[in-house]
Amino acid sequence: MSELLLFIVIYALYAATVCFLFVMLFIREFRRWWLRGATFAFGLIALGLPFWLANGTLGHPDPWPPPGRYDVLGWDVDEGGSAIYVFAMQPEGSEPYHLRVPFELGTALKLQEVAQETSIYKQITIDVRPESTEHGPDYAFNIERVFKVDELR
Amino acid sequence: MPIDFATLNWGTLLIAHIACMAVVLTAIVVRRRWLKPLAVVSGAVSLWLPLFALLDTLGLPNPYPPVGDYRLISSKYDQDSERLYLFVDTMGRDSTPRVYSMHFDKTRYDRMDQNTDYSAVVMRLGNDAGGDYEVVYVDYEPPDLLKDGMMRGWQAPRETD
Repeated sequence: MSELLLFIVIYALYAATVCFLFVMLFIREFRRWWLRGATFAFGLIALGLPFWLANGTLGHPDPWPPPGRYDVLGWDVDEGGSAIYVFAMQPEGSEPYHLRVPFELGTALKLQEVAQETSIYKQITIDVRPESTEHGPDYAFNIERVFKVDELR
Repeated sequence: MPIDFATLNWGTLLIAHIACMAVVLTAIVVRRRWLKPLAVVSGAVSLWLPLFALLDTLGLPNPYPPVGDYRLISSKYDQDSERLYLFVDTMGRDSTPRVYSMHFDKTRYDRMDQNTDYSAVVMRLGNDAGGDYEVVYVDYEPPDLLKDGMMRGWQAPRETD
């Protein structure tokens, strides 16, 4: 939460620098050296701040992931934060993606079971649907066993 | 024709931001009357462009991981591009895990993969400032949360008890 607050504050600072530049557009007495210096400094800040912020937001989970099917490579359940963080990759994708989906106790227990007995499971995929609920995207984990239960009978 | 920001990637949006800011700064310095409306529009657009760009960065691996210790949750190695993708926990600095990517030699990855005999895999990421990352396993002992009578959340008495 504190990171989100920091992000909002820094973005507000960025907006303030752009507003300062707007004011400078309409100031007639631009020959004063300190005004020129301040404009140059604020211009540099306005140019660079988004890049600095981008370095901070890269790697964070996406709470609104693009719909589709992802192969699950790993997960982390955060019950306190009511979220399941998923490290996944789309079959046609070139690099993994970090998703955040709402916490569901049934899903968390199933994932815990998978973590304890990895050898009996073949593949886990997650379907992210276009609809979203109040807490995040609608999703479904598909956990495929190596041998289906029906085959064992 | 309206621009669909969802189809543009964050790099393109940040380049557009630089272009908009360049127009604003040029208008301030050059002081041409016809440039002012253009600068106002560019400035208004550049207020929003970084926000769309930053929203677009969410979920993507960060190629510049901060130096420090991380608990490894999962990893993926792409042999073609020789990139290592790490899904890590920041060990108390923040409750949200992160995804990092870094260039990693295949031989180094194989060597690292053979040494995963720790139950809690903690990695130390180091940067030699040349963009080359070093990853070593750290023998990590998790803190004993039951020590000194520490109480778990579910053990705490409720107001109604």
